[in-house]
Formats: sequence, structure tokens, C-alpha cells
Amino acid sequence: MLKALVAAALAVTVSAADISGVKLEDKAQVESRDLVLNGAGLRTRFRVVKVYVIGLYLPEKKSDAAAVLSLGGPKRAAIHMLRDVGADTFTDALVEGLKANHSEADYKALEPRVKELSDTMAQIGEAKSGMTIALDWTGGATRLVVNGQPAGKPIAGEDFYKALLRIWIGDKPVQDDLKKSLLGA
Amino acid sequence: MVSSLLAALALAAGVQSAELEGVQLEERAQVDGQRLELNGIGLRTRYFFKVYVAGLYLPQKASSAQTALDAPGAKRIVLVMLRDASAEQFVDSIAAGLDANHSEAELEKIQPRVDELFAKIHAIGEAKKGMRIVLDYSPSAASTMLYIDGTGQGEPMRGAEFFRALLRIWLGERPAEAELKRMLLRQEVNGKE
Repeated sequence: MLKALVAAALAVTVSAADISGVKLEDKAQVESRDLVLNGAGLRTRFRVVKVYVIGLYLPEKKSDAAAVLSLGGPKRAAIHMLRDVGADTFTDALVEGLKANHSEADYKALEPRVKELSDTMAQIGEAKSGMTIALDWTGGATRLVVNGQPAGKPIAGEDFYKALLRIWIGDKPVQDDLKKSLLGA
Repeated sequence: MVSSLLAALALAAGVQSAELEGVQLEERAQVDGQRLELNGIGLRTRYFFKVYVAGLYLPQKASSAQTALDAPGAKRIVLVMLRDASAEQFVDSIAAGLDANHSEAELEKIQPRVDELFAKIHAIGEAKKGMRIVLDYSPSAASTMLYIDGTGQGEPMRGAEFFRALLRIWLGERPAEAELKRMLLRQEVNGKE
């Protein structure tokens, strides 16, 4: 009875998207700024292996990639892991996604910061199934937040955060249908 | 009495088994009360590694993939590991095989079964060298059962289509390995050997 009441209350106050058993809140806060869930989708491998669910949070909804990238204010890409992924594999995927969407020269400029991020991932060791890894743009830096706790040092430069977003919503996104989902299609 | 006599006779006749890479696979198997024959035995390699020995059991010999896929009745796939593979590697290789041989709609239909199988593999944790992995299709329940070294793993996975999909990993249009497909179907290659 009590459980049912609690469930009913939750249903009223919190609406959440549910993708492959992952519930994504409709709202998030980064630097005490309210963000809305712009879109969310499932990253698969060989179409049948569920790797993670990712949700993109923005100050306001945007339906095209260029508008997302040029939008000011805090942002969050929240990754909910559905399988264990080693730090090396995680970093390799990151680098591959960055290289696919940037010229060699642009990537060179990002490389030291990619190293900072991969060092933090290496400290975490493994992206475990059930873990939530958020990539936040605070308005001044990129911050990695693992299960709600900031990890590693903030990484400077909005160009870096935009570069990260291009992994999913760039011209050569890691997965086409995922890009569409993140843009709310 | 009768059974022990039969067993003795069978022994006398020599119970046939096939051998590859030191792995013995019996020429016969029993699944869902049905007698199956070893259709073929082959080796799965990856780069320079020998990964597993595979055996395909069918009620009647089939030398074409289509016949094997369409054959009614019980079926068995046996994999005997020749090296360790992590759950992730194992899941990925099954996924790659399913991906290569099915349309989006086909995959969507079997996805719940695929999830069940992958959960079982993750629960097992690792495919160890020497491990005997068996996938049995039982027509009476129209379901697939996973056995590891003879022990059933959880609930059977429902639906005839799922086992056919699994078979396509090895026998499909884009098989895991062309040579292995030929071996499982005992197809001769002209001009070879």
C-alpha cells in the first residue's frame, strides 16, 4: 500500500525516459543550472550488444547538431553503461570518435587533453555495467562525473567539449540512429 | 540387461568418434529424445590462434547450409574451447555473426533471446580452454538450451527462429569462417588436397 503510494508520487513528480531498462531523468543540473533532456539513445555493438544508454542535457532543446554545438551554457552527456568496458577500450573508442570527426591538425590540438581524460579513465580502471559517466561542460571546463562524483581535474577549453560531443552528433557520428535520438528525432 | 548388451555390442563395434586438434566428438548424440549424427567437425581460427573446435549434429546428414537450417527436428552445436575467451570476446563474436547474417527486422525479433544468451555468458564469466559449450535445439519445446560442460545454464531460450539465427553464425551467407562452414557441412573443395 505504502509502496504503491510512493510509486504513484514518483510517477507524478519525476518523469523519465526509459531505454533498455535505464531511466533517464527529464532534467539535470550542472552548475546549478537546470538542463532538459534533449534526447537519448542506445549505443550498440554489432547491433545486438547493448553497450550504453546516453542522454544529452542542454539548457534548451535543440534539434540540429550545429545548434547544439553553438549553444551557450552548461551541458551534460550522461552515459549509463550496460556492459563492462575496460579503460583502454573506452579510450580507444573516444580517440576513434574524435579522429573521425576532426582533421589531423584539429586532433593534434586536442590530444594533450584527450590524454588528461584517458588518464582519469585509467584511474577509474573500468567502466562497469551500471556505472554512470557524465561528461559535463560547466561553462568553464569539461568535468568527468562518475556516479555523481567528480573525477580527475577539470579540462580546459570549450573546443574540447564540442569535440567530445561530435563523437555522437558530428558529421561522422559513432552511430547514425543514436545521433538522431540525441537530437530528439 | 538389454541395454548393457547393446552397450557391449556398441563397444565391440567401436563407438565412432571424430577427432580434431585433440578434441573428440562422438559421432552420435541424443537431443530431445532424438538420435542425431555428427554432420561435421571443424576448427575456428582467429588470426593465428586456434579458438575452438565446433561440431554440428543433425537428425540427418546435410551437405548444404539451407538443408541444415531447414531440417526439422532436434539439433546440436558443440564448441570445445582451445583457448580462453572473455565473456566480452565471446559475446562480441556471437553478435558479429548475428549482425553479419541478419536484417534489422530479423534481429529485432530475436533480440530478447539474444539478451538472454548474453546474460548467461556474462554470468559464466569466461569461456575457459577445454570448456565444452553446447547449444541444443529441442523441437518439442521449440527452445534452445545452453550447456556448459554438461550443466544446463538457466532457462531455455524460446523460439525456433533463435536457434536458426545461431546456426547462421556458422552456416549463414557470411559465416564466421568459410572453411569452418565447409567442414561442418563436409563439403568437398574441388582441387583441394
